[in-house]
Amino acid sequence: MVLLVTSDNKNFVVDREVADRSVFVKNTLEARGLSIATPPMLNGGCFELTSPFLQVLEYCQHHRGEPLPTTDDANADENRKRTTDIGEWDRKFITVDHEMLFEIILAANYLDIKPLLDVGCKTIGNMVKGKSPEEVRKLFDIVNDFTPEEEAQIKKENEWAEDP
Amino acid sequence: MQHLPLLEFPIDILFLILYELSIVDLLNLSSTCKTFYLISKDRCVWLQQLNSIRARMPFLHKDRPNLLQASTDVLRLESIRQTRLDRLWCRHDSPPGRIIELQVEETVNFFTVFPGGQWLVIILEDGRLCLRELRERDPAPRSMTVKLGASVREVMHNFWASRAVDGSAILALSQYATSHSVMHFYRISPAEMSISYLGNKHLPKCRWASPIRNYPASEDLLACLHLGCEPGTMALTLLVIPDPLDPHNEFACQEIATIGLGKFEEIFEGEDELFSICIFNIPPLETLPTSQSQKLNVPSAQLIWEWRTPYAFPPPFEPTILMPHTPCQLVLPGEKYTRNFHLVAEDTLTLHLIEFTVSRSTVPGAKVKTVIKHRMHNREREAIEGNTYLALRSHRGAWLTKGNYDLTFSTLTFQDYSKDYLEGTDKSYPLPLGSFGVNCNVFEPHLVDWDYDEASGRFCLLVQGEDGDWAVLLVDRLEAYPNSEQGVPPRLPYPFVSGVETWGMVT
Repeated sequence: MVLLVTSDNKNFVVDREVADRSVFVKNTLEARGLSIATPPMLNGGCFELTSPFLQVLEYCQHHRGEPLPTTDDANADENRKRTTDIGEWDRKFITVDHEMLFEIILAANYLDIKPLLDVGCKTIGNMVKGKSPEEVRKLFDIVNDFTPEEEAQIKKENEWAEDP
Repeated sequence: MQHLPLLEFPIDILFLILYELSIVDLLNLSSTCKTFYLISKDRCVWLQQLNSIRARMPFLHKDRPNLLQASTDVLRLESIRQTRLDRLWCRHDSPPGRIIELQVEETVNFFTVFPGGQWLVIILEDGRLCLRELRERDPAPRSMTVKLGASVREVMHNFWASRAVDGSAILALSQYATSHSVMHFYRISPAEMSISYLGNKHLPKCRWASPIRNYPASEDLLACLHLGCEPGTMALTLLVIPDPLDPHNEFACQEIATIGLGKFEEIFEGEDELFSICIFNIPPLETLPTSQSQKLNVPSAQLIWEWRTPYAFPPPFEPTILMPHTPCQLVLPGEKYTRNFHLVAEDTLTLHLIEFTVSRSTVPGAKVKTVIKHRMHNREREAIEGNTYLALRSHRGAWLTKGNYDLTFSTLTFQDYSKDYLEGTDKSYPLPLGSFGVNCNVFEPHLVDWDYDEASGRFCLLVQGEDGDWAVLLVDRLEAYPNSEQGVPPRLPYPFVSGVETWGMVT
């Protein structure tokens, strides 16, 4: 068992196998030979940490014992691309509000949990899928900072990608 | 409504997200704001897109080996173009973009598209070898003809073209004999409008000979693997074909090694009741000599796997392999490889479709999965055979078949397309071939042969009309543009269409 402490000072006791899902935690524990880690300093603590961390723990617990993806695999990108579908459990797991999705992705990135990061990025990719630029702006609160001339230029650049 | 502050993600996460997007989605995202526009111009993004396209559609890249070194803009344009072409090609309602019809007066014995898709090589029954430009009437397509030697004419079987430095290609014709085979080599150069006979090679141990394509040629040599067979035995012969342009070399094809492969009637070749598909582990060939004087010492090849037709097929049994052109596929050492082999086996009542999946990772050996997919009844078979056009689209799955004169293209997914036909008893199935017929001057065209040029993505169909006329139809998927008004050229040109990267093309 290891003790994980979040940056807002909440303690979590989890199995080593669960904690090892995070490459960051795994490396930290191995490097220090300790059983206490204080990993998630999420963006200087400006987020409510406990609730995304609970989600991440749930993910790690579900996937405990599965082989970790090897990082030195030259075909890692290819493999990732090939599995475009998100598993049933992961899909339900990631069906959360946008804010939580955002924080889960940040946490997965910080804690180096590649499969979870992939699930998050794929989910965002699916949200973008089939949407017009205007719809994407609405969805993600993006401000259109192009001048009308620039916009026309980009439209022209991308024109032959559209359906005839 | 909640918002997801996408732009607050660190940039490496944004890249991961971009990697998940299809090209259209990527371009849409890039036109939302300056940040995404700039990120989406990154080289990594387009390398990733191209890699993904390459994994899905390897044939699209055949003509652009150095693409990955190209500028980011070129990568971007090429990714977009290829994605679009593929989508157009796969659309159910898109007719072939362009049909070029060439009138051929004589009976055609053999035809193939010259690599690059601009020229056609035909052998006529009267023993002439023709090179014809694939172009419409104005200006008149160029062509030239040479007479083949009398002995060459008898049996023309195989073709192998290799890209020489000047864009010419070598045509290898092999000739059957009872106990040996002869390969004849011709150099064909559209740039010079010339066909020259280079020489021949007797292969005494080979009853038949089948050159293997895609062998990477070294700089000064064109290498050829050659598969042959003496009765009851397989032999793999390695030949070195010198570059015909090298003034220091007299053209002399050299046999550098022969590997006996044990007792097998055929490899990848259907004949009568016996049929087998074999996979051999051939020793690494990287040690091929760089000059003709070197000898190659090759150990024996090992048989890894063999599949023979089960006896469940009642005779008469005439299997036809559904693989384009060459009955032998070379997998280079270390190459990952997955391929479906399809076999149509036909008896008096049924047509059997058998699918093999052979995969090989970087470790030696191969995994093979055999699935007998269908036992089809005659009605289904008609649907397949009538489905020429639909099947043309499915070339990605290598579901191309060519056999005796009435077997046309086929596809495993035909059921999706012709469901109505298969389910309803009275429904008539509109044959897609009709859309060819509209533009074709040949009455009731009937598909005789076809060839597909990977470099240009062009299909050539050899058809014969009811009244005996021959025509060659060029189906040019590069210009498929289903919704453009009739007669009006595409609104926006594809960036590469006018200069499809063909080699040896005369402007």
